[in-house]
Amino acid sequence: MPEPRVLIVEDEAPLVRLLVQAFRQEGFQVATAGNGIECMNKVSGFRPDVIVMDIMMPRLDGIDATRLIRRQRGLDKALIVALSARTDETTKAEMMAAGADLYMEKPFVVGQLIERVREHVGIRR
Amino acid sequence: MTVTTAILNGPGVLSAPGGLIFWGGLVLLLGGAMVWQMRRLRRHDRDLDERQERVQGLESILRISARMHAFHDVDHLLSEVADAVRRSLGFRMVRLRIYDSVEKSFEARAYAGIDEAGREYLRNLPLSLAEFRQMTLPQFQISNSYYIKHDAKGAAEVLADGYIADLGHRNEGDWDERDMLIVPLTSPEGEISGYLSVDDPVDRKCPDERTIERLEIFAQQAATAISSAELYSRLHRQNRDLVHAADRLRYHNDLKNNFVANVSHELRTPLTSIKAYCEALLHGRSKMDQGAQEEFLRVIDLEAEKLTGIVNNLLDLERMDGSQVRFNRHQTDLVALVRGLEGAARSQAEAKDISLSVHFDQKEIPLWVDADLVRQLMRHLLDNAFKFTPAGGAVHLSLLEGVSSVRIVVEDNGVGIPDNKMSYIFDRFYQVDGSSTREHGGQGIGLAICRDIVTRHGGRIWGERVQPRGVRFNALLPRKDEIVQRSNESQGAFFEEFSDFAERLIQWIGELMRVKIVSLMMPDRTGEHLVIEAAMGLEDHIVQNTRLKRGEGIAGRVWRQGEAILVEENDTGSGLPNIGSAGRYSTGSLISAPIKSEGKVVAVVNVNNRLDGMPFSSRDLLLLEGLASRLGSMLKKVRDHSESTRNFSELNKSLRKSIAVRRARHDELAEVCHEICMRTARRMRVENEDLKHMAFALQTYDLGLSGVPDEVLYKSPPLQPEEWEIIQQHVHTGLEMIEHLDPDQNVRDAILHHHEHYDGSGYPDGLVGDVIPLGARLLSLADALTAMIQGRPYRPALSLGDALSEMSARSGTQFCPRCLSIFLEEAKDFTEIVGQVQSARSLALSSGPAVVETEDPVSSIS
Repeated sequence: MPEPRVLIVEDEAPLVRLLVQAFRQEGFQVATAGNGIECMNKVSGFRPDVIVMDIMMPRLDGIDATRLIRRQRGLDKALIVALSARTDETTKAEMMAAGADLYMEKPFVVGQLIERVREHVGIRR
Repeated sequence: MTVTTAILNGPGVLSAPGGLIFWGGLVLLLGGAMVWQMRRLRRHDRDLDERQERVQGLESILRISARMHAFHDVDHLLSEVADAVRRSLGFRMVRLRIYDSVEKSFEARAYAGIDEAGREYLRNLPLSLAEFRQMTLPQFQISNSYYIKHDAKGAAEVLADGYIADLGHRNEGDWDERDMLIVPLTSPEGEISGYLSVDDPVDRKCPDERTIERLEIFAQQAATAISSAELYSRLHRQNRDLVHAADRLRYHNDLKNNFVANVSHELRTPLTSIKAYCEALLHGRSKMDQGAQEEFLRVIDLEAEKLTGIVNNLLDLERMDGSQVRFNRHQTDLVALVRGLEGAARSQAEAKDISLSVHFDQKEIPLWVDADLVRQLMRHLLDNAFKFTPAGGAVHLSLLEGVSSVRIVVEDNGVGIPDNKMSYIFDRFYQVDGSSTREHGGQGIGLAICRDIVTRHGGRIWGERVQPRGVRFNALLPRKDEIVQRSNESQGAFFEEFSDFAERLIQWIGELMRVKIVSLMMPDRTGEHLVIEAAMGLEDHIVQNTRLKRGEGIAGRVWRQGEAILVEENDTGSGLPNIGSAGRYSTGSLISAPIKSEGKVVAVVNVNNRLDGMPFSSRDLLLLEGLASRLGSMLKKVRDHSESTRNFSELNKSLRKSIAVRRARHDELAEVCHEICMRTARRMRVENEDLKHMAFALQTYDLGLSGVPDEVLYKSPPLQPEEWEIIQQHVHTGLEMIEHLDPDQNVRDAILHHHEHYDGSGYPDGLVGDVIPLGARLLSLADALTAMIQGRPYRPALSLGDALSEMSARSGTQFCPRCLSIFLEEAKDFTEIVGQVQSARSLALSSGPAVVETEDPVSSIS
């Protein structure tokens, strides 16, 4: 079985570093993007199984990025986990409607995030 | 009727015999009956005529009163009522008093046919309710009105003290000049709301029931109209206030919501990292080496630091809110202060790959400030600049010593701020980019804190766009030392200072408006009367004795309505009493404008008598309104003592200097250039508010020149680089000077950029093409033409034709081609007048030692 691929879209550098490390340890192939535009540039080449998506980002936010991803062929199966400090219902609803599968509020437990992702890609411990 | 018949038959019965007597009697009888019939018919006709006349009279009254309902402005309506009585109901003198339920008295509010002395008398004599009751005793009553004949019982007491007009000779049974006819006005609720008092009947007769009936019908109509106009204006005012309040609430509510969302986001972001790293350490410590663990701890530490910063900002803001904040001013060297925070700022800049440079005018810049607060101010300005500047950018901090203030300038070449958002950025919790794609964190607090700090020091802060990109923040801290102590000493000094300030202001308005008479009126201590606080061109006794009630006189109306009034020369139909005495003014033309603060009228400024003897135009109105709108908040502060005396003594200095500049440069030729410029602006569809800004900018744009030494200003080119620098500095000095007037952003932009060239070769920012604000492009035309036709010591004056062709040669290089082509068209109308002024001037120069340039324009033109 090939390594599952995860794309981390997040503009907070320390958090990105930590997530990269955590997913690598779990045997993921990892790529990162600092905003929605970078995410769109990487996504078709990298073809991730999982996308961890921040919402408040410069240039193109997570909601619009998610919407665009869902329109691309072959990417509609990817698991999109929204990860945001926005806790209001409006933003959540908008993000889910855009096509996210999961919404996790920041701060979150990294262990839980990885658990949910693993369930999706079918890796069992 | 029987008596008539008997008398008619009488002679026949006595003198004729027998049947003859009978027939004769019969004929006479029939004849008598016919005569009687005819008389009856005639009387019937007369009745009919009278009735018709009466109906017509009533119709006309109703027609007149129908007009009344069209007026929503109460004062206008009242004078219309008084006028209508005079015009249509046969009385030459009319007074209208309205009941004031707070004062419990009847106040004279409108007049017709009464001279100024009479009005003055009536104005100062409100009628108490008790006095009114005395006038309306049953013995005077006719219908619902009261006719007080001078010799009736009880009349003496009522009439003794009244204002009596001399009506001249009269016959027995005529109206006596001491008589009084009072027609009450009854509101729709049935309460007495005022009364009409009429005098000097056209027919000179005592009033009969018919006359009184007509007056009463009219009075009833008028009363209804007045109460609906009052209701309307009250509702209108309330509605306006409500709409305004609702807007403010909505805006603040939005800010609050954004703030909560932002703060929550800002707090959660570092928390997320802290939590994630802690989790990693807790679960994975055993697998991590020493170095990795340390690195994780460092991240946690850094993020916790960020969190502390955010919380501190919130606390700072809270601290600013409390009035108990200590405000510790000491003589502080700002240079040392900047040096103190430079280290931390540099490492912050390096971390973001931004270059930071600092510049000081002097080795030491001492200022009387709260050092902690000013340090905080600089830190916030720098943080803000770093935040909005991308990697590779530059941030520049400089301290510039002005004449009366020190300017802290922080400039970046970052993302900039759109013009339409400039005025909001200092609002609490406001963020230019509130969207979810915003690149920059923050809670919209930093600049709000900056503004609080600067205001606390009596200064001002504003932002400017920098070209091609970036923002320049200017914090102006006034240099204050001994005056601070003086304000603590006694109130006497304060008021002395204030009246000095007010007089300077008056003088300044006089110079800008080119008028001989200016007065500044403010409510007195009780708030009931408007008194003259300062004036120029008015005699002392007028200044001392003028007192106007709300709604009284033009200034009183402006006070009440909050809107400027322009009285054009032949505007006699307004029926408005003037202030002061007639004859003093060269024309009847005047402008009166409200000075408002927070929507309330705090003062009224009046101007009369243009220097050129012409009536005022709408351009003058725009200018005075523009000036007045800027004086409001300042005057209120000064009055409320909420600000120390520093502010207006600052202003005092800049006013004094600007007056000197105005004297030297503003003449008819400058006026002509301004007019051409305004016409051009209008044709370029500059709208009302912006026209005001334009008029304001035209009057103030060159004030900065007062900071340039004459030897530089009047030196023939070429200039040395350092001299050139001094010249270029004048646009900033100018801005600094008008900063006290809280100018609109458009005015600032126009003044700051009026030396930009269309091809980008101008200063201060080298803007190109239409990026140069329209106001600035227009201003540069007026400025250039003024210099050319006035001439300068180093170059002779050009004729208008020559000047225009020189300007048109610079189309597209120096000037905006579109603006220029309209400007040239508009300028052609003025060839003759410019020629006249110029030839008069060269005559004056060649015929004697008088030098027009330095002569006081007040005396040279009047």
